[in-house]
Amino acid sequence: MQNLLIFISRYGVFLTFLFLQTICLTLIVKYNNSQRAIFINSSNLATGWMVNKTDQIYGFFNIRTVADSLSYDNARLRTALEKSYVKPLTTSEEITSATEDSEYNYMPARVINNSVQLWDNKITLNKGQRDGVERGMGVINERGIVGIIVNTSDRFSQAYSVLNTQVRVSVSHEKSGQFGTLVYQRVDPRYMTLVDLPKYAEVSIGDTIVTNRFSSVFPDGVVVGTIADYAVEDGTNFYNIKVRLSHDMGRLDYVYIIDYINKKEQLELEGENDE
Amino acid sequence: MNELKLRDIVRLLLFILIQVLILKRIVISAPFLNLIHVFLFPLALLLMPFGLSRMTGLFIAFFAGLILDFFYDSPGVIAASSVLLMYMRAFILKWLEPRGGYIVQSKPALGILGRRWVISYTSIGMGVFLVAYFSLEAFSPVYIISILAKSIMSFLTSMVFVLFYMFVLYSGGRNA
Repeated sequence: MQNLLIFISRYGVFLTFLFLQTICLTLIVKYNNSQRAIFINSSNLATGWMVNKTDQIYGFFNIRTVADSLSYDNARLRTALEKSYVKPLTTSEEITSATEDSEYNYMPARVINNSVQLWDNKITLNKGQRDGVERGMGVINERGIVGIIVNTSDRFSQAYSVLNTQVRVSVSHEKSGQFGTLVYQRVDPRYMTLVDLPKYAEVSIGDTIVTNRFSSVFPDGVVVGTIADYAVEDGTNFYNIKVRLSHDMGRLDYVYIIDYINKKEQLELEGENDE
Repeated sequence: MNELKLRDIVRLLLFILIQVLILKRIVISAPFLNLIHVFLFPLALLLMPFGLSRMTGLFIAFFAGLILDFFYDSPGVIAASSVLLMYMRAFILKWLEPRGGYIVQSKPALGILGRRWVISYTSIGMGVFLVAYFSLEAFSPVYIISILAKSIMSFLTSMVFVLFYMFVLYSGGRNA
């Protein structure tokens, strides 16, 4: 008891200070809208991070549950998309029921925040970890590619838009099958740049550019856009191609988040080879 | 003992009134900084008697800040800044302590401590308060540039009022 009194008398001022500041901060967070929003948002980021980490640990056990939780819509889409199946030697009746062979799951989501005017644009979607969204999943809509998930909280996820200098998408020239990398060069949100496409590929204006599966993010053959202009870069063996995106990134609404089921396995295998 | 005198309380209430009735209406709009507030009220806290118990000081600052917060419609923001200022005041005083220490019973006094001392003391005090205030107003380190810009602009305008008060109206030190 005496020790307690000594302690209080020694640190009383500091404790009072802390006490009053706590009251003030509580008031601030409780009664000021903008501060409350920032507080909730930041704590969401923190909790999101923690949940994310735990989720990685539980992820292995959860795969089946997550797969189950993917909605009726996914099932319908999977059925509709022939590309989603391991093809050979099955009749069409078998395909409809052979869901265990499915490689990609599609999850419908809505865009709730989007930008196109920045250098590094981001998109917020209304599906989060609760719905099975994980970092690294691809996002497309019915007309083309949209972005890649980089951050998830419980109910929301944030994706790098393809209009982001951090994003590099592996794509192919549909006619020749040659591949290159699609990057955003900040100038005009309607266009992206395709680099590293070897110059012996025969390209012409209007050719279609599609995704390939090297990135393990997007499925094969999702349309990206068409060639608007091209030139061989000086002193290299590669084209520098201006690609007109197939859709207006500023008008996103419904999108699909793509879960490539075998991604982990593929990346692990590729990682092993690197060693 | 250095007790709270009536004039300290009166001054505090007067400053609160000036703050909410007059200074609150002075809003200078500059590009990119939507609101710059002019603050005189922290000076009343700085001018509290030196020997005032720190505990009492903290509570005075808290309640005075809360009153202002009700007028500014920002519950907790000014109170938190005031409490911080009051807490830091002891360290500022210690840091600026003249050789030989403060004369017991003296309050921050122009005549005894000198012009330079008054300017340093009020500047540091106002600086602490304004940075705290604008940080809590923005509430995220993301806005650091705007916080600093607002604090500096607000500091410059507020100090005009503070120094005017200290050098023209405040007589406490000369006859102490």
